[in-house]
Parts: sequence; structure tokens; C-alpha cells
Amino acid sequence: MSPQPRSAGRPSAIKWRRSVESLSDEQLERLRTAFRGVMQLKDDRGYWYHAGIHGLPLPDHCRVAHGTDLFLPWHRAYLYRFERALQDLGDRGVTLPWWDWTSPGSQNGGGTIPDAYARKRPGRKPNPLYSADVDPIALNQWSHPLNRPAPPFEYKAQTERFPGQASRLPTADQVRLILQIDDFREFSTAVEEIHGWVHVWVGGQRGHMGNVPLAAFDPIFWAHHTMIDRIWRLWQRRHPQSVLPAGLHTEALRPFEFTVGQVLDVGPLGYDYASATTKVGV
Amino acid sequence: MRRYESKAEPMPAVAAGADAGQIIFYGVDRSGPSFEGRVFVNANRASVETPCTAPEGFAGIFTVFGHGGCVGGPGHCDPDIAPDPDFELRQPQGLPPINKAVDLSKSMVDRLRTSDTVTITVVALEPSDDGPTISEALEFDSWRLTIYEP
Repeated sequence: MSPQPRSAGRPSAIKWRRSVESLSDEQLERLRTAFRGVMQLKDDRGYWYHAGIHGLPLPDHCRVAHGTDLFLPWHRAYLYRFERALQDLGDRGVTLPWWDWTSPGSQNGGGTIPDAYARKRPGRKPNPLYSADVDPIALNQWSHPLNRPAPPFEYKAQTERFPGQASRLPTADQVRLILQIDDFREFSTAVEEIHGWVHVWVGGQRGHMGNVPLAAFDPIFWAHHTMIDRIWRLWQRRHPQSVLPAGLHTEALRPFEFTVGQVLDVGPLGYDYASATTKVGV
Repeated sequence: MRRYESKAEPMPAVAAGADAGQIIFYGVDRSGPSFEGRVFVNANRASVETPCTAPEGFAGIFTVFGHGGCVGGPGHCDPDIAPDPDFELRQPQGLPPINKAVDLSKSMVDRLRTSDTVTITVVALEPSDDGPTISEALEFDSWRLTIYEP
């Protein structure tokens, strides 16, 4: 039987995901601290383990999650697992922020990576959101494929970005149109399409984000997919009557311990999205 | 392939008032590098230099977030061939191709309404240090043009 969250639906337990552009200095530092912590763990609580689930090292589980109806629920389960891993290090209030690539700041000049992820050494300390070490086993599998000649280039051992070499960032108008779609399958397909634009725009030719097997090693992957999950959440609010394709509720989200039905409602997963939130003690 | 150009196909009649449509590409390979497909209608000379504007016949783009090639042994990424599909409970093990769609604007539908034939051109581009460059990664089985009911 699948586990049930102990605090299912308790409003007081809900944690809020925020736009990376609206994080306070303190919230951003807590996020960086959590990323630093998880990057130091080399076991199955750590960054390499979670990034590797998406692609390399094999098995690349995400192949069931791209180009299928599982795209949105699979990545929701994935974000949940990684966010919990960040919180397991001690800061239960840390959450994954979203990168709103439609914002004026991100659209500026044909596209801009958010400052929180673009600065190499803020405060003279290495920024764990700027780049991450890539699991050497993943790099080795990429560089020495069993079934074909070596690839035309090797990826660096630390993630890189080459934004703007191709593709484009989706605009607010495009997201607005997508949110008007009634049918889940059409909506999911449209969101997955613009999601690919962002991957290719960020990664360019040799950036890890532009290549499925290595994309999740780039720390901005999580902010990008949190934005995708947020769009799904906005859509769910606007189309509560929409039904999923038959049989999808009971599909397993390999390798996670959930079915699709268990991740449809973000309440039991313990988070939601906030454009603004404030807590007042009395 | 680097570039796809269809034959001139007969254009079906477009209903009065129709203002939306799609070009759907079936069986698009995603096992190679990431690329974007720029789709042009009735623009036989479309190339990497062609502006992505309506007067040039630009209809839209689709992007393939690619896997960069299979790293496993022979057959690792081949689409499944279930020996006994009645008892196949696993999710797909291989990397089957996907479908992609480009939405057509009202102006493109209007343009097609007055055309006897339709030609589809896809120019595939990969990112590079010098900007988008022509890609060999484009592979698909078929395409369909659909104009929706008004």
C-alpha cells in the first residue's frame, strides 16, 4: 500500500513555494544552504541521486515522463521528493522557488537567467544555484556509450549554461492561452512543448539543461520545473471540472512510490503556490 | 534529415468562419540532440535564414528536448516489442517517437483558404556557439493539416 502523508491536508502544515524573484535575502540564503547540504551528500539522500533519476546514470526514469500523459504528475512527484530531501537536512521551511521565465526581468534583452542562479560568487561565496558537480558515473556513461561512437563533445564536470543559442523563452501571453485549454491532454502537451523551449534556450549546444539525460544536474532545472508545476496548479484551479484520461489515476510514477491520483492535489503533498503570503503571530 | 519539404498537396476546402488549425507531426524522433523545427507553409525556399514572420509563410515552431543518443547496448532504446501484449504490465521501456503540433493562426488559415495546394517545409536547427545552425536530427513519419470547425 502506498504511504499516506501524516499531515494530509492540514492547512497549518502547508509550505509555500515562491517566485525566485521575490525571495528575501534570508529566504535565498536558506535555499542556498539547503542546496549546499544536499550537494555534499553522496548517498541516496543527495543531489547526484536525485538529479540522476531524471536521466543518467541509467536507468533514465524520465523516459516515461516525456511525450506522455505522465509529464506533469511525474515531475510533480519528482519535485516533491527533491524538496523533501532539501528539508530533511533540517530547515523544514525551505521550499523550491519557481523561475517565472515570462516575467519582464526574465524576458529582458531576449532572455535573462535570474540573478539568484546567474551570480557565480554572491557575497564572495560559491553559489550552489549557479552550477553543480555532475555525477562522474553519469558523465562516464554519456562519454562511453555502448551502442554508438563517442558523442561529438563531452559535457563539463560542472554544469554550464549557454542561454539564447536557440529556441526562446515562452511569453506571458502564450502561458495565458495555454491556461485557457480545457482538456488535460491538450494542456499537458502544450505545457510540455514550452517546457522544452526553456530547456533548449538555457542549455544551448553544450549546456546540461539542453540534454535530457543530464538536465537535472543544473540547479536551475528545479526552478524551471517548479514553474511548470505552478502552471499546472493554476490550470487545476481554473478547470476543476476537467477529467483525466481514463486509467491515468492509477498509473504508477516509476520510480516514485506514488500513483498519478496521489499527486493531483498538492494539499496532501504539503505545499502550494503563493503570489503573496504573510504570517502574523499574536 | 536537415530539412523537410513536402510535395504540393491538394488543399481541402476550408469552412467559412474557420479560424484555427494545426499541423501535426507524427512519429517525431527524440533520441538525438535537442533541436527546434521551424515550420513554414507554402514557402518552398524556406531556410535557416528565412525570417520567422507570417509574410514568409512561417507557421510556428516545435522543439524536441532530445536525449542525445542512446548510451545503452544494442536495442536499449528501441521502442518496445512486447512478446505477449496481453500480459505486458510494464510501462514503456524504450524511447518511442512522439507527436508534435504547431497551432495555425487565423491569418494562416485565411491564407490557406485561398490556396489550391499546401506545401509544408520544416527547417531543423540546433543551438551552437554561432547561433542556430542546421540540424540532421529531424526525423518523423508523417504530418497532417487540420483546420478546425468554426
